[in-house]
Amino acid sequence: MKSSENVMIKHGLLGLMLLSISSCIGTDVVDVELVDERLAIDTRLTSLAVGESYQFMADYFNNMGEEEMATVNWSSSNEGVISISAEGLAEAHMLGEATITAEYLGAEDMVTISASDQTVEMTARTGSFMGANNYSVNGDFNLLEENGQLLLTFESNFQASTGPGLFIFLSNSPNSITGALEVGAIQASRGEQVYPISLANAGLNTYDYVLVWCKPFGVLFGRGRFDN
Amino acid sequence: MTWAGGGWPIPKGKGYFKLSEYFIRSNGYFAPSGDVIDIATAGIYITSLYGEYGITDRFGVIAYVPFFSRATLNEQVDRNGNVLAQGDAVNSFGDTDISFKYGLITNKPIVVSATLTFGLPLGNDQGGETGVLQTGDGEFNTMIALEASRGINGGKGWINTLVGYNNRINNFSDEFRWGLEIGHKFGKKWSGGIKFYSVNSLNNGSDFETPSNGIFSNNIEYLSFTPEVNYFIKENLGISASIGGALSAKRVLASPGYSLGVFMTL
Repeated sequence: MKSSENVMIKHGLLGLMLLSISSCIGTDVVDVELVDERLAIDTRLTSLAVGESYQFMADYFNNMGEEEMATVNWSSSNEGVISISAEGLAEAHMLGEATITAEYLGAEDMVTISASDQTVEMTARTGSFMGANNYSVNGDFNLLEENGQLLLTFESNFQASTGPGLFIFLSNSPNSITGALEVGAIQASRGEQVYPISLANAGLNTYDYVLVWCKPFGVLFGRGRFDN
Repeated sequence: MTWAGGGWPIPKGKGYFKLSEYFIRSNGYFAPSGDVIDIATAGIYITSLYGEYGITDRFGVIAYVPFFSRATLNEQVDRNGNVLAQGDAVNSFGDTDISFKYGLITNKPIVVSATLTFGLPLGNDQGGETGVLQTGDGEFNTMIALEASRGINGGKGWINTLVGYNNRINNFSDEFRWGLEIGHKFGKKWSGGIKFYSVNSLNNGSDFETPSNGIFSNNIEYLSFTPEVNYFIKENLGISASIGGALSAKRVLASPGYSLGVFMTL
């Protein structure tokens, strides 16, 4: 073999080895997916006892999904049944029904309440999963406020495709984790599991979706929307 | 892909050996639906030795040894520089194939051989700090393949075909594979060819039960197209280069893979 060919092969082999060893971790710049601005009434009453009052609260999220301070405008569809102050304090005056609306910068949320003989507050929300990107995620879940915290529970019929680095998020987008709350790494690919969430991080109605998200690769495996 | 010799078993005492570097880097991924979706940029770099040696004129052994495999995952940052997800990397030995090839029909215009391949899970299926990077799938598999070949144009060209059945364990789906290669020599120094290779899942495993933590593991499917060119520095020594990409696929990276190698024959 000619010496020049020998040198070429040796250098070529060395180059191949170096290519493997030196291939480094790069950086991907991700464009954050904008979401609709959202106003969420924190606590949903189903009924308010005549003569009693109730303090409504609402959270505002900008189109980056980030929570911002907001001066919410409160209104009632029937002030004679349930009135509400500018600060969100509602009072039931007579039997009937009224819709309470919260509004800020065009974003609004509303809840219809009965004025009756007792105050009933919704303490749980439910939903079902469906897969995304042809991954299998199914089963039911619920979010319950109990003992000063939220409990996100996947029912025994839950199952998900195995995947790398799957995490559970509460989100206001069906497709992204923009502004979402990371609940934690998935505990198991099937079966009942419970995720405690501090009320300091989310209220019962702060988010609309539960996402199963492959965090390292940034891929949505499945989503579920709260039915109520 | 262990079908360099096609249906021709390598003769007794003869051998073919190749040192290769394969690399692929992609921010696209063929989802299970077959659609390409965006993912964090992932890279796979494999330095391997391939060897084929004739024990008898009909029986030979083949080894594919990826002795250095590296998998990388880019970190994710938003436009403000906030880190959304950390990058990661893993280096390890890779999954290794040991094969035994037997010539069923030799000295005929069309030759046929059978190959039994054992896929040894010597790679890492939960690598890196995230535990999601892979240089192997974590399962032992056994593949039986039949290869039929025929020379064309007075021996200057060749056609190789392959059908194979890959039996996988640990709830991974079995696979049916087929391949087609058409090649030709161009003068004394050059040869080239194109390869089609198809992996088809029988979907008899379970996505819910596979122990592997990776998205590159179960129910992979693809039809790849790979042009390859070889340059002979001398009669028994040469270099090769190829670019392979998936024409359609599920659960694999959606970018071309590149291979460079040096080969020699005994």
